[in-house]
Formats: sequence, structure tokens, C-alpha cells
Amino acid sequence: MRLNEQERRTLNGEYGEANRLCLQIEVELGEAYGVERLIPITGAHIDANSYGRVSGEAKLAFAQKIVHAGGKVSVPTTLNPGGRDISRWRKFRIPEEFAAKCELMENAYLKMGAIPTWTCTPYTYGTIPCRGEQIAYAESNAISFANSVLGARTPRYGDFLEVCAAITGRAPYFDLHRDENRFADLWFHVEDPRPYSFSEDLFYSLLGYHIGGICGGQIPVVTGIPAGVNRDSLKNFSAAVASSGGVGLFHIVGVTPEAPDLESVTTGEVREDRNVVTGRQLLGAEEELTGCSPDDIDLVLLGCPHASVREFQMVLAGLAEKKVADGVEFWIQTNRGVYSWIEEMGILDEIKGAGVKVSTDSCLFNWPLDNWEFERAVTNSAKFAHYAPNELDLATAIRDIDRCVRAAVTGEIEGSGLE
Amino acid sequence: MTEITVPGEFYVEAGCEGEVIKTPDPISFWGGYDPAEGRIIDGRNEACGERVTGKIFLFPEGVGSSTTAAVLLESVRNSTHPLGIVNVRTEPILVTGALIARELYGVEIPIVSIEAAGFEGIDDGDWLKIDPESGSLILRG
Repeated sequence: MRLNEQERRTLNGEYGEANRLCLQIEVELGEAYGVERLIPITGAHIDANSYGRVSGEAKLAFAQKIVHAGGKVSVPTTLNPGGRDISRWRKFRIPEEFAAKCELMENAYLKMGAIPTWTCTPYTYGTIPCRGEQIAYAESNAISFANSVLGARTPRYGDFLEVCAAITGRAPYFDLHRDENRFADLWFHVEDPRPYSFSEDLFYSLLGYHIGGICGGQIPVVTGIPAGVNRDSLKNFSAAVASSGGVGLFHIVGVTPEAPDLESVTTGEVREDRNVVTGRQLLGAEEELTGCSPDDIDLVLLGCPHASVREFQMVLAGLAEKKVADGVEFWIQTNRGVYSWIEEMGILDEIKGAGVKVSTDSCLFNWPLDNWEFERAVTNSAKFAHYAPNELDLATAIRDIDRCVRAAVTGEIEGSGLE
Repeated sequence: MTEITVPGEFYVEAGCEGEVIKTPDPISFWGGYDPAEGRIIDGRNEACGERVTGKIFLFPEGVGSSTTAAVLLESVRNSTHPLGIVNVRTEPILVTGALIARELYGVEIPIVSIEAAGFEGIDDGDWLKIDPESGSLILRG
């Protein structure tokens, strides 16, 4: 790899041990992938700060190593959800010891100078990357959204490499950082969305889930979707396509910024093979994401990725002054920006009055749920429905927000859109 | 005894030798792998329930969450990690986990990618050597 003077000095330890270690890892990785040089980045989103049940200790060991070595981020750096709601963790029955570990992790990243966004949707407020901006993002849904919807440039950074990039402000110039790697590999054409519709958020979750399962790590381009897809639908698509597949970038022609037309993002070869998708095929995705019968439920979970103001408004409309049923917990996860807005809008008081619990700063997947006895959950999130059966040992069903709200009120899951 | 040599691309330059545990399905370490036990726990994966600890783990490619590196690192912290990893397509996320494992715990996990045809030719239970000197895998049958 070709290194400039400052990079060489960094590797010699002239800018401290943290910078040396972080650059060393980036250079090793870059050399493994035949990368010629490093480029400057102007933003980062860290995922390695979430203290979770599964890999919290390893992440904490790494964070503390960097802090001890004097590491400070050198670009604006946002943080993913941690393992607890910082102000309401007791209400969610998070054990004291676990909360203490989370605090160690929070402090480590605050010492590094990162911005305490504690959200998986850093693209909703505060530090939104621009089109063409070179960034180092971790968190699969945020990567997919930043690349595809915002048109920023980031490979699928994973835990630790994004920290290294945030500290050094440099990134290996490879993968989705480079224009020539942003062309689509597979073409999907949506012919008929029925029984779903183009205006339904759930349609985009299922479409993303279906396409991700076929793509693996390849880049899809989708045609046939009318303009005007809202951000929640695109968020759902991003999260779903990066759950069933390793998709870091997708194009939707006429919707995402790099794809005004099919020709802009494809070669002739890709255009020869059109994969038709119909709404009927997506029923398969809905079925795959529904592992429990329409029986009694104990948990309704929205906000994976973190809920938007619009989604809270949909919940409020769906509740229509009804209350969450006895024996059901209705939780919505969001970030502090959205929380403060819905508070000021009066939405928060109303839904709290109905029995909904809203959390910030965190992600259920990191929480120890030992103090709850959840068995069956319903969610609007393909990502949650995909991971919860293994990660949380929860039988899960996917439904749109309206049906999730009705499930919370009645304690029963209605049939899918078809029945 | 026959030996078949399969050329590979080394992402983490290290060597090892051991029994193969193979899945034809892509895997997400987060949600699909339990680092406490070194076990595949994704019900959608053909090798669900199998342990990879002390074996050479073959899977075609990674999918899903960017937490992969942390889960691999946690597995190393618990000494439940695979001896080595062989893919058809190796993601940087996975390589990062192995590079940090070396920095933090001094454990070397070679990661190599090979052609799909070579991948097809290696089976569960085979004896495999990952040999960085020759830049290849040596399959003993």
C-alpha cells in the first residue's frame, strides 16, 4: 500500500499508540484486499459501542484498549444504540450489573470524543451525510441507507474497523468508496405489488427481505417502483435487505439518487436478465418472517430501526384512544431527537397514557430480557422478525403498524394482509 | 493418501490444520452463531446445531449484521473460535475481527477465500491444511 508521510509517521507511533494501532489494522486489511491507498473520510458511525448480551465483553475490551492508548476520534462520529436506555433502564428491568457495564462502554466512547446519538438511524437528524461524501459507517441498516438513499459512500464497515477509521480519519480506498464498485449486479423488476401496495411500509420490508435473500452480497437495482417512496419505507427496505443479505448498497430507479434510470447503474449484461418480482412472491417472505400462530402475544415491538415521528403518528392514529391490553407490553424504540419532537408535539403523553413504553438510546437485541417472560412478539420490522427467533428466543410475526397496534390492544395477532 | 491443492487468497496470513466443518449456506455471525459455545444457531442454516470450535469452518459468504467482527472476537475471548475460516467470498467485516483478535488476544485465525469449484470439492469431515507458505489449501483424503 502506498502511504503518505503522515500515515508513515502514524505507523511509527509519532501520533500515539491509538492512532498507530488503528492505522495498522486499516493497512493490514487494505493490503489483504489489494488496496492501493487510504483516503480521508469526513464522518463515521460506530456500532462497536453497543454493549450486548452476546459480544459485549469483547467490544468493551477493545474500547478500553483504545481509550488507554489515548484514542480520540478525528471526524464527527455518531454512536449506535447501547445496551440500555440511559435514563429509563430500571423501568425496562435491565439488571444493575449489566447497566454498569453499559456505562463503562458509554464512557469509553465519550472519552474518545464521539457524539452520543445512541441510535441506529443516525441519518434522521444531526449529522446526515451528503451525496458523494466519503464516510465509514457500521450498523447494517445505516450503511445501506447512507449509501443508497443518501448517496454517501461507505463499505459495510463492521465493528472495530469503523472505530479505526473514526480515530485515524482515514479509510482504505476500496469497495463502495469507489465509483466503479457501485454498479448493480442484479436487476429486479416489480410487476404487480398486489396483495400489497406501493404505499405500504410493509411492502418495502418484504421486498427488501426477498431481494436480500437472493442477492447475498451483491448490489441490486429495482425498477417498477413509483417515485415518492417515503423515508420509513426506505428505512425498512434498508434494514430488511441488509438482514437477509449482506447488501450495503441498492438502487431503486427513480427513487434513489444514483439511479435516475437503469442505464446509470448497470452494464448491458445485467440488463439482459430481468428478475420479475410480484406481491404474491412476497407472501413467502411474510410467511418466513412469521414463526408464530395468530395466538396470544406478550410483546409488540416497533422501532427496529428506531421509530420516526411519522411512525409515532401512525401508532397514535391506530390506538384511537384505546389502551394496551393487560398482559401485553407495547414498546417503541427511538432516538432522542425523535423523542424530544414527539414530546413537544404531545404525542408522547398520549401514547404513554395508552400504556405504550418508549425507549431511547438502546436496542432490544442488546438487552437482557431475563426479567421478562416474553414468548410471542409481533413487529413491523423484518430485521427484528429475522433476528429475534434466534437472538431473543421469541416466536415472531410481522405485520404492518396498524395491525401491530390492534394486536397490542386486543392481545391477539390478526391474520396477514391476505386473510 | 491423496493430496489436493487448492489455491487460495489469504486475507489473514496464518496457517493451521484440522477437520472441516462446512455449511453450504451463508451465515450471519450475529444472530446465527453463539460465541459462548462456538455453535451455529441459525435454524435456516443446514449446519444449525454444529460446533465450529477447533475446526476449519467453511461457509460461502457472510450475510447480515455488521456485528460479525465483535462476535468472532467474543468467540476468541471464550476460546470457542474456529481454527481457520474458508469462504468463496470473504467480507472485510470478518477479516477485521480476526485482525483485532491478533492484537487483543494474540490468536491467529487464518481466513482464506477459494474458487466456488474448490469450495464444492471440500466436504464436512475432510482434513484440511491452510498453508500460507504456498498460498493454498491442502486437502488430504
